[in-house]
Amino acid sequence: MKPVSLVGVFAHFDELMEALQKVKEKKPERLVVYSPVPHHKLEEILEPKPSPVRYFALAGALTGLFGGFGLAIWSSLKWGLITGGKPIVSIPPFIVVGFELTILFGALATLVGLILTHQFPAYKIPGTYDARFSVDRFGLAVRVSQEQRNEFEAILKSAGAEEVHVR
Amino acid sequence: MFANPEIIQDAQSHREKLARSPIRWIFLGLFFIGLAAFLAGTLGDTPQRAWQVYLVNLVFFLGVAQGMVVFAAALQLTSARWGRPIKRLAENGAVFLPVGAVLLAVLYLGREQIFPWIAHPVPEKQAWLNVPFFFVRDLVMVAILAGLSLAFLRTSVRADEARLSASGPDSKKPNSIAQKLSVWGTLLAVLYAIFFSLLGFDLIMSLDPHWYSTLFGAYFFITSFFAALAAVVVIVSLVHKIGPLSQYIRGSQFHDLGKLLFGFAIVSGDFFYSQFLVIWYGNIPEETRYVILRLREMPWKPLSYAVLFVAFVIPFVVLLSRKLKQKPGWMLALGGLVLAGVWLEKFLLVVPSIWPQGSLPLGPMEMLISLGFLGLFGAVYLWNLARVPILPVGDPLFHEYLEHVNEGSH
Repeated sequence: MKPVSLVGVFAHFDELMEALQKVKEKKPERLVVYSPVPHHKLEEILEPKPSPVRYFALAGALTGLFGGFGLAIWSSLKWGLITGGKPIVSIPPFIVVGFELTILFGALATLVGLILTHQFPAYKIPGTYDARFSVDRFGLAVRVSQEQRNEFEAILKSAGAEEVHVR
Repeated sequence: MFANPEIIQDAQSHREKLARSPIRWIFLGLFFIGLAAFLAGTLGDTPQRAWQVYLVNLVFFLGVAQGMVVFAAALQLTSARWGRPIKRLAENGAVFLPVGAVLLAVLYLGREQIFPWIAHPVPEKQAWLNVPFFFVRDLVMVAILAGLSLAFLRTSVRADEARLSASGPDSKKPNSIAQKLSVWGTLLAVLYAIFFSLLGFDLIMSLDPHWYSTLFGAYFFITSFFAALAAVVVIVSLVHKIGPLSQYIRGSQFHDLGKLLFGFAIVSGDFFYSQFLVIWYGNIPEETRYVILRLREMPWKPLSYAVLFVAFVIPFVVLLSRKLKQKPGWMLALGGLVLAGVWLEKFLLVVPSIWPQGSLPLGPMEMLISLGFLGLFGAVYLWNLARVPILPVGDPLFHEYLEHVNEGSH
């Protein structure tokens, strides 16, 4: 038998949290929460894996750091301008270039990472999504097997779901 | 707003603990050891050594204590909920300030040992750098800041005491108290920047009276604030480890403190670099010699690089990690490291200007005098902490914070 997706629609955050806690204990195959607003409690209870975007940011920042110093050092060596008796490769002013490119490349790489890893922009809208989840309702979608279906439906209802849909 | 008897009890529970613990006597003992070392130093062969390390510790502890109060004022001005459980621990630093003013007055006795412009006046600067004006203005500035800080602390504590003694919630008072605190806080923040700039110019920059940097004052109050944040981190993690507050002080407080510490490590580094780069580009001997003395010449060179690593590179790298920021043990170690780094940085700003010989004047006597200052700070701090509630139970935002933390976790 194919697993089904149940979507509970909640009007209040407390009810969503109650349902979420109960549902989580049962360890469903898949658990998705839709919320019109961000909330720390969700983060605490869902314990999402650390985002992979940070590796993009780190890689970009390091590229910028070494690229910035590299660019400054290489161009000074190539077109040497002796000024005020200072060495051609002088680190203090190059820090500015290195610093700026660290930030620039770090920020751009973070943006690229967001687009690549977060389905951003979303061309395909998930089947369990409801337009109200972007307005004034919370949604809790679980994928469960047919046998568990009634049990989960009861949990969602008892926690205070306004509607429970099967998708 | 609710008055939970448990919270009321937790806010008082530290008093008994402190009364039983020998920690205050240990601090007091350290102070007397330091005092003895200082007296022995000033009466010995090289009184200058005792006086210069006295000045190092004076600017360090004055900055830490004042910065802690300014941090509490910043919490007040931004209506920050996250920092409410640690507010009292920060603002309690105010009690050291009157002591600091007395210590500054004591510096008058050693003025000829440390301020070169007394023996060799700089004619163009004599209108500003002369003994009466110098001590009067510095004392007035420290006294004004101390008075404001104590008023801030007193107002804040009074709200809590009203809460502890009253049976029912007082609906009218919290607002007027918050208003008062905002006024004191605004004044503190502004005057801190102005007065600590001038104190930095006077107490540290004037030790090399021919050298100047217009950013020096700002650099001084920023690094002082940085050190104060590190002190708050150390105190909060110690209280968290020992004390009754683990229920109120959580990983998220350490996370936020860690972010602030990270930010101010960068700002301090930036203020240093902003001076350094201009001096480097200008390459004018009268400016560069100050930097060259500290970065290129022995015995100061290794100390300078140590400061760079301890107060900037290590905190920067460690505080990048979100996990480590939430661990009290790591934050305690890091806060201690930053405090040591900033102390050494103050040492490097003060001593090379006036210590002529090639040897490094950093021995047992300096250590003992510094421990004495630490003992004095700790003793005064704990003496007052035992007299006040440790949690700001009269602060509406503290209760908002608790509600926010508890909501949804039923």
